[in-house]
Amino acid sequence: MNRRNILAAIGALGAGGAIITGTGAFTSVEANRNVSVTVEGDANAYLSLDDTGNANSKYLNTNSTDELEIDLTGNNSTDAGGTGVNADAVTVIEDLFEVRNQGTQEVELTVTPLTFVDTDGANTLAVLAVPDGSFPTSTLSTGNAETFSLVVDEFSPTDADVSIDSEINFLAEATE
Amino acid sequence: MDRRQLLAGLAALAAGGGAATGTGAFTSVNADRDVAVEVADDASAYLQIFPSGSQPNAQFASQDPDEGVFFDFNGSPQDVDGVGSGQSSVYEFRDVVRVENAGTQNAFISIDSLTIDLTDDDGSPGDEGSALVEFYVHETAEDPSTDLQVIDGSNADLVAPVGEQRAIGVRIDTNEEGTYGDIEADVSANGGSDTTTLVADQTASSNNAIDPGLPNPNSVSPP
Repeated sequence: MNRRNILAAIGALGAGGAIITGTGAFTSVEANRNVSVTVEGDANAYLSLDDTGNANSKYLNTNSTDELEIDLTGNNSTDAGGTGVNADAVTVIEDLFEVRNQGTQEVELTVTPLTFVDTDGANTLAVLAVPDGSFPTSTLSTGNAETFSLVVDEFSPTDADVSIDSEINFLAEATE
Repeated sequence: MDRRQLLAGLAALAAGGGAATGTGAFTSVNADRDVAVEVADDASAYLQIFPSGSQPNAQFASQDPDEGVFFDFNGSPQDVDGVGSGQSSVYEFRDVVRVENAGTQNAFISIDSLTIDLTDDDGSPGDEGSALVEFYVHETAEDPSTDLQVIDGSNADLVAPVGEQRAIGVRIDTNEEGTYGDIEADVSANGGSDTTTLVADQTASSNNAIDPGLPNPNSVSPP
């Protein structure tokens, strides 16, 4: 569920508060009940998207609304001044992020896509998100997490302008 | 509440079904997150490799936008008459390139040694011999009298702390082969080229991790 869905749901629930009064055979009963919904940043949500606490967390960012981003660009330079992956190299960022089930029932997690590719002639930039556990979906019981590493393969026989600016989708569905 | 409002309320509650599950037992979560990856050149990437600034041996290395760093010991350095390595010799070129770990954690660096088969002037390989090319550091970077360690991942690995430069030298050994065919006296010497691989990893592949410390000068800028 994305933020928009959550907000829509909150709105709907507010509008639906009156339904409680409608279930009894009264002319009129008015009862207020508290409904509290908190929208959390990715790290604390029921489906948690977070770093794994290792040094590679620098390659992640959170945007202005606390959403996790994978950012291997000059907008997210390392403290030592690195602005991107090496050309003609394979870069492995081990245990970059984890997806944790902080809800109350087992879910099946599907992450798509797991590959991102940009080409310019023969020049190729390929990014793979590699789950540590099972592939391509993971079954996560309550409290459990799937850890993902990133493998970036760059091949550029000529001076290339290849980059990835895309989205990765996390879908968690209850197994029952 | 009139019927119209009640129905609206029911519809709203049905539409809001997701909210009920959102209070803990979520049935489904679907989230899109951004992924951005850029490729940087060798001098600004997470692992930076570049010629050693104005150090005298830096002129044996160049930075090519297509190829990255390459070494050339065939041509004539500036203001010098020499045009290559001699035969039956060991040449050591100290501080040719610098590596700087611009990642987020310390790494161990190794560079494959090369045995380059030499070809003579007409390009035909034969008994012209070969040259062993190795990449090395001194055990203490600022003291070239300390032992030389070849960082091929077998003999030794170079420790590269985050944010610091390390100087790497090149050693060319032409002693390995007995003959070098007909090397002519002029520029028509035997030659060859190959490509090596640099690996930076979280673990050292040899049992000999060397940290020679900061070179002198500590930091040079990519030319």
